[in-house]
Amino acid sequence: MSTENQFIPQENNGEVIYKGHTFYILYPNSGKTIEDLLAYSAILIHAVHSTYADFTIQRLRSYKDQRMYLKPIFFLQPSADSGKYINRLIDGSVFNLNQLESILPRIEDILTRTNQLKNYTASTYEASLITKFLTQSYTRGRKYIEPIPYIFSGINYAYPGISCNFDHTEENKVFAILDLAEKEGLIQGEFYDKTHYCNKCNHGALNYRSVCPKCASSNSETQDIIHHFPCGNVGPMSDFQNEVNDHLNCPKCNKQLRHIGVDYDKPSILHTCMKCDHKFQDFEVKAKCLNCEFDNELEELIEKEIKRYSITNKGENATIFGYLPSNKEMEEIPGTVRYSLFSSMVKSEIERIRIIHSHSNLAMIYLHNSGELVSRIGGDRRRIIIKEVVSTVAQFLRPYDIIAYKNPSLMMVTMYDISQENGLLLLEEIVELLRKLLSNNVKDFEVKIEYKIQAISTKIPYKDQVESLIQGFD
Amino acid sequence: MEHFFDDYVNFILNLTPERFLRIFWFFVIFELCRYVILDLIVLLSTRLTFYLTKRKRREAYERFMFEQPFVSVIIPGKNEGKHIYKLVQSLNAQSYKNFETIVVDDGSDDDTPIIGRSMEKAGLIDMFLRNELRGGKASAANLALRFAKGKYIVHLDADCSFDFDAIEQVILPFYYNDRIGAVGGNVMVRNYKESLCTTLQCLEYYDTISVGRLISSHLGIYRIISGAFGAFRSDVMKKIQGWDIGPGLDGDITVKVRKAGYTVQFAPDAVCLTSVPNTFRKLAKQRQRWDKSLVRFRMRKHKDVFYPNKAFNWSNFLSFFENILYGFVLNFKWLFYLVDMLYNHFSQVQFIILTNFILYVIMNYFKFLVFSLFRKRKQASISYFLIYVPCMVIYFGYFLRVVRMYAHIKELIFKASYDDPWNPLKTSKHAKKLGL
Repeated sequence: MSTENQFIPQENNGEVIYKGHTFYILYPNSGKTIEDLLAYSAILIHAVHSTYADFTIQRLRSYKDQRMYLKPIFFLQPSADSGKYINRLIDGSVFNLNQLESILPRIEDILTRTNQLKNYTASTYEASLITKFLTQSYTRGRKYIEPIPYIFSGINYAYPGISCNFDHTEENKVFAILDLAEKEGLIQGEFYDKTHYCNKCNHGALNYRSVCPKCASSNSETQDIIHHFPCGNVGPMSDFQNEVNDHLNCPKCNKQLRHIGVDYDKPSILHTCMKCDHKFQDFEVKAKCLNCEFDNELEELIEKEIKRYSITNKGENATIFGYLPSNKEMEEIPGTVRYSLFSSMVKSEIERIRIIHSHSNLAMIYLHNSGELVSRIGGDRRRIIIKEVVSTVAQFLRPYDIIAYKNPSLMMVTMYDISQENGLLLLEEIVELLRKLLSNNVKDFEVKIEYKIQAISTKIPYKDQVESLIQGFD
Repeated sequence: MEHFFDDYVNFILNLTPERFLRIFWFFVIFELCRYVILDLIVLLSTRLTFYLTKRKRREAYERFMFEQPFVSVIIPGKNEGKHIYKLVQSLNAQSYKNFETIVVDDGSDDDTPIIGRSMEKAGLIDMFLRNELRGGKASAANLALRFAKGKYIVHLDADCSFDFDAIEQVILPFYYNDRIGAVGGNVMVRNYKESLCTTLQCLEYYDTISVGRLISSHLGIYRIISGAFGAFRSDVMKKIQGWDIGPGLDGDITVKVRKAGYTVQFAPDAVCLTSVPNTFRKLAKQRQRWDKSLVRFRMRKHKDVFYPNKAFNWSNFLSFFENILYGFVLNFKWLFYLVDMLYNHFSQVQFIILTNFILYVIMNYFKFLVFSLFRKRKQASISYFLIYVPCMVIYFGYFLRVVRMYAHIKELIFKASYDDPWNPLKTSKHAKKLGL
């Protein structure tokens, strides 16, 4: 086929349309928001400036919207190899638009696989991250989640699809996500490597230094120890050096040292600390953290096993049909009941109000950014805050009202023997208090809460009533 | 047997003083006079001196305690890791605290480097130095000496342990007078109950070290500061430039200190316990090494002690003379005595041997019981050793004498000490060539 017959894709304000697909070429300062990019089939990051390209791909892959993080993204005109980790985040590279033809099969494959995924919303922050890396792997046809040594990683290894969601100071949370996924049986880990982290800040950038065992200074001088055989004199090289020439002379017997191994040898070495003048033969090795500058003893370093993960059958199913966390944690919160029990009790309440002709309500409180909350406060503090939330809510309710968590974002409560109007007022008070509670506990955290109340009907099945209450939030 | 007994009684009854002296001249002249009468006189003199110098010693102690000099304890050795922890525990329990501990590992091929390093890291010892290539004990001691910061150097063997005040007691004599260059500690046997061999060595150490060195020190002819426990003035050690190649370097360094014009003192209260060979085979090997050094150092390297030159010193001369006379000449003289008896009294030789045995047993009991009064530190009750005293006649009079003679001949003819694997060949061949 001659060049003249080929269709050359043309760029128009960054947009390229080629064989039914729309591409957007992302330049530095293009002015587009990520939301603006969702509509395109694929993104081409103009990668002449690798720093920009590396930053951009990580930002796009860490975006919360599945339509973006699963989108086919390519580098256009990459100036240099960005390394294994960045290469794993992109779907390929092209050097000019003429090469778009070559990436079409890849794009179509990714889009086809993406379309196979059922639409669902992850119920927790952890679930959303697990979903993210599972779906990214699935749409790229990868069965494994491999750690990649990455110089800019705070944990020394980067897991494509997960690591980019955290900044350097929080990157070790990757392990919590992977451990959870493994515990849930979605992935199966196998040993890959061991790595060490700072005992103070958990960072992996460590400078292993040979230091003086007394003052930990790395400033030292090393000398050979010389043993003069005929007289048994032993001392550092400087004892044997004279000021006249390069010859070595024994200060004990005044003989010239002539032949190493015959009349003298160097049985050992001696280090002298230039800071404290301590003489020693074995350096102490310490690991200085390049992040917080803490000088770690080697035995105090945090050792972590780095695993390579394969996606299990359960993991594949969860990828396509959606991952529902087992939520054991949520079931164990004092003052709450399990979601299944909550539904059963709604059924009983329907019967009760049918007999006594009373008014009862179901309400739900949904925290939109629970994922962000978790990443900000960590797992341990989250449990404490959840307990506080439960006790705050409970003080507004009657003793026989019940509270249940469907997931960490979604709380459900009953409001027995109260009109819907009064229930709504009560609910508004509860939400206001929750806003204050969360704002006080997490600095600079914007609380995004939605709430809803619904009167219990004696005519609608209990399951439908519960489902209609949480529809759109589950 | 009955006939033998009657004959023996007749032999004893016929012994006039002249005849007794003729037959038992060796015992009377060289054993009774030297090792009982002279020793007893000197011991009484030491006791008298002890009381007369009470004030001087108290003042010395006050000066010592006021100054609190920094002491460097050096422990050179090979494959001694297993002993170091116990040794350090013993040092930590010392009443005197102002000292540093320097351990030198002379090319060990066991876990000594790991043990030493970990103890250095834990702060149990101040410095652990290792020579990857073995250079011999002298080189290890010299390496420690090179980095020692103390005013006094205390040289220890790693397999020793010490009385709580041993370091204090071994440093104290330096404050008696300025001419004391080195002080020897009182080495005793720790494992004396292990075997007959160790029990006999314990009795020997009582006699030759605890009492013998007290006497030689008092007479000014003390000649060996045991490598197991000795203290040296740091400036003197720098002057004499440390240890020369062994084996026998402890005797050699003592002579070097004496030749440099300093006196050497024995500190009976500075007690150190050491483990001695537990079989006669091992003991014979050890003693051969020690005995060869008499020929090598006293008769070869330091023969200038006998020269009437500018550096001549009577105490050094007497020290060497006594050592060579009793350690070397009389050893062969004893052979001469044997020949004399066989040639002149052949028919009565069995009675002479028996009488000699009885005389030596009586002498040994006397010495053991009477000299015990002069030993300040006793490990076990005297009664424990009583049954072993007769064995000392065989041990001291025959076993050690034969070993010594064999070692002397080997050293005289073959210069065997230079081939002793105790010291690496790379250094020994130079020492042999230079006559060191």
